[in-house]
Amino acid sequence: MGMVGKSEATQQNLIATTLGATGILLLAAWWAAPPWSLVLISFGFMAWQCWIARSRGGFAEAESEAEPAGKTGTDDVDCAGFVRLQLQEAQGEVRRVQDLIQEAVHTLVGSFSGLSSEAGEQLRLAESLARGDVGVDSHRLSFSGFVTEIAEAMSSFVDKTVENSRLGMLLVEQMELIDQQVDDVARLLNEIHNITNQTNMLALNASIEAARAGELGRGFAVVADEVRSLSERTASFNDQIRDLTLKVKDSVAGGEQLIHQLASQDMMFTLQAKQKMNDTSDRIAAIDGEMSEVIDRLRGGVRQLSDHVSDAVRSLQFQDMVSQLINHVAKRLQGVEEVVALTGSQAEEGLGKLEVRQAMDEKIAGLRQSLSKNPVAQDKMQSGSVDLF
Amino acid sequence: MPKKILTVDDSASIRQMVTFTLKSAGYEVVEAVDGNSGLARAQGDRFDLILTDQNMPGMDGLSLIRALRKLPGYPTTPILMLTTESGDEMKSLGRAAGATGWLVKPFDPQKLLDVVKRLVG
Repeated sequence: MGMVGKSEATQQNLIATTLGATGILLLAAWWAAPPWSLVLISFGFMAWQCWIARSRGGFAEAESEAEPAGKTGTDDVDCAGFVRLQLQEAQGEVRRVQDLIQEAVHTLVGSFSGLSSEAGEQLRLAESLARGDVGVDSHRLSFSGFVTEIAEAMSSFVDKTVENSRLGMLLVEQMELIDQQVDDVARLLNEIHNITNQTNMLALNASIEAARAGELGRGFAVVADEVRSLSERTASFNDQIRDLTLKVKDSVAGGEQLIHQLASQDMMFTLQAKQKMNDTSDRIAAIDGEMSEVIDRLRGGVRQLSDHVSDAVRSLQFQDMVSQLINHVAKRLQGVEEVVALTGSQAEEGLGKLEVRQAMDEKIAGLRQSLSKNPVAQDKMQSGSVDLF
Repeated sequence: MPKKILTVDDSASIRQMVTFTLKSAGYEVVEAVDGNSGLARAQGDRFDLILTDQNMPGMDGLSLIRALRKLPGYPTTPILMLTTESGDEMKSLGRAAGATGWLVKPFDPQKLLDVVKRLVG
């Protein structure tokens, strides 16, 4: 009677234990998020398998009635031990999952923040380049400002050159005037030459007349000789002046030609340079426009990148939420483990059905209380609400 | 002088994200890993705004707010809850404890910045 009664009680304990554990696991699965439901259902299935296996052994025991009294309890403890071990393993694996996710998210957040910072820095650099704010304060160089300054300097240079050309032309006119005046001088020199010839002729006639007059004309002959001498010296000076005047005329003509060439060359060079400068300015204006367009696109890209990073930052918070959910699931598993441990110890102690039921009810009530509050209510990753009190 | 903000959260990634978001906008950010270390930080320094999680080991967010409100220098400092808790009952408790506002995770970086700017400039 004792052996049979204890065997039946053990059988009942085993059934109650396995059904209880299975029920708790399935109940926990119903509460938990879908991925963890599968884990809990698996444990429920294991517990049910234990019960099936043990039931078969139990019937065999009843038929033979030859099993030692302690064996059934030992098998119950083994079965409960197996479930507890699996629960502990599952908790360890869950913690590893948490660690892996946390590490990966930490790296991802760092990458996204670095990406965002780099993009912002690139935009700032591009804008600085476009504005020409590169270099130390005292040596800042603005590309567009540089071009403007060059264009202004070139325009001033062109104006000066045009003015120089105008003065050159005036100078040419003045040279022409000098040439004309030199011609006038030459004409006057011809007149002087004629006068000299006539004076010379008069002196010669006077000498002849003085010779005819004899002794009385001797003084007059001396005067005639002096006049002729003066005439010859005048003729000589006249010739020298004519030669010099011709040289001046040639020099003026040469200078006039050079000034004309210089004025023409300056003007041509300046006009060509101005045209090149205008072309360059147009090209730079086009490049400036393209740069502005590129910077606008870059700015838009950085803005989009910033939005994407914000989305990523928001989405990566799944780690915190999942971590809290996993902690909650781990607490559920811990609860299941405690229940299984309780059934195992009660089976070992050989408690009655009512006592087992009472202890189990207390345990389950406590677990329900502690596990009822889930810290994460969200089931989507959309942005949370903001309330200011 | 940038405004100084304390973020208290046991999640390293959340602290990292809050810090990145606020630092990008020019704020100085100090991190604390739980309520107790957050309280110690607040006692040893002066912050213009405090962000705290609710569920943390040791001292939770509501207890931290109650303790902060008793500290000299923090009776009116803006304190925001940043938590996965979204129930009205919890929000009421937060308001009674002295919280200035309640932000539910996941937070949108721009919304967080808007709120912080509104409170501390």
